[in-house]
Amino acid sequence: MEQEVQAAFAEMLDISTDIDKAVLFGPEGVLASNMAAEAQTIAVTQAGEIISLGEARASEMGSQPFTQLVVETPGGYVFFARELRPDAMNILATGKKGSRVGLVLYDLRTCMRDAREAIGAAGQGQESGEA
Amino acid sequence: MKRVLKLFGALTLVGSLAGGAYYFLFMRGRHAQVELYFDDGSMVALPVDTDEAAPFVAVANEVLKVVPVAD
Repeated sequence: MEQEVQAAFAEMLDISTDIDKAVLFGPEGVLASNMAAEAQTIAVTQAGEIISLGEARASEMGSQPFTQLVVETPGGYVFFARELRPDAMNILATGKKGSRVGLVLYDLRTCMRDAREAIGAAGQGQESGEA
Repeated sequence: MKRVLKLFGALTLVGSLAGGAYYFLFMRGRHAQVELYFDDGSMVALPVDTDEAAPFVAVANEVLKVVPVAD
């Protein structure tokens, strides 16, 4: 399962030339990343902050839950996307200046979807093995 | 008739150049902003220099400080 998740992550980095660094993580920790270990920890913490801020904003607006974020700064882009489910996966990425925002968000979502399919397939395999 | 066509061509050229220059000077750069997307597909864009965007920008700067984007 871990290999498939890593493959989905590597494929995203291959396809998207705009993504520089990224970390894919779930409730149990980091699933895949091309960041240094220390940077991963900080990025996951900051992603938690993004979720809190986004949820607060959505609540203020009375809108549907927040799912994605893009911040453009002079130093580059920060992208964030998340699933909305109890065992949600999240992905935080940095992007180069001039990144194609729509494409990057699509690639982040595709990576999470592929990783989710890999986890689901592994779960089904385990269940049928146990039966 | 030829003169009218020449005049039309010249005006078209001048208009295109003026449009191109305006785009190059004022519209080319994407204005920095925070974009929040919600589950129903809606999106909110916050100009980067507003109070509402500030906490998101602070988090993004913190991330980029740890993992600066390679040029």
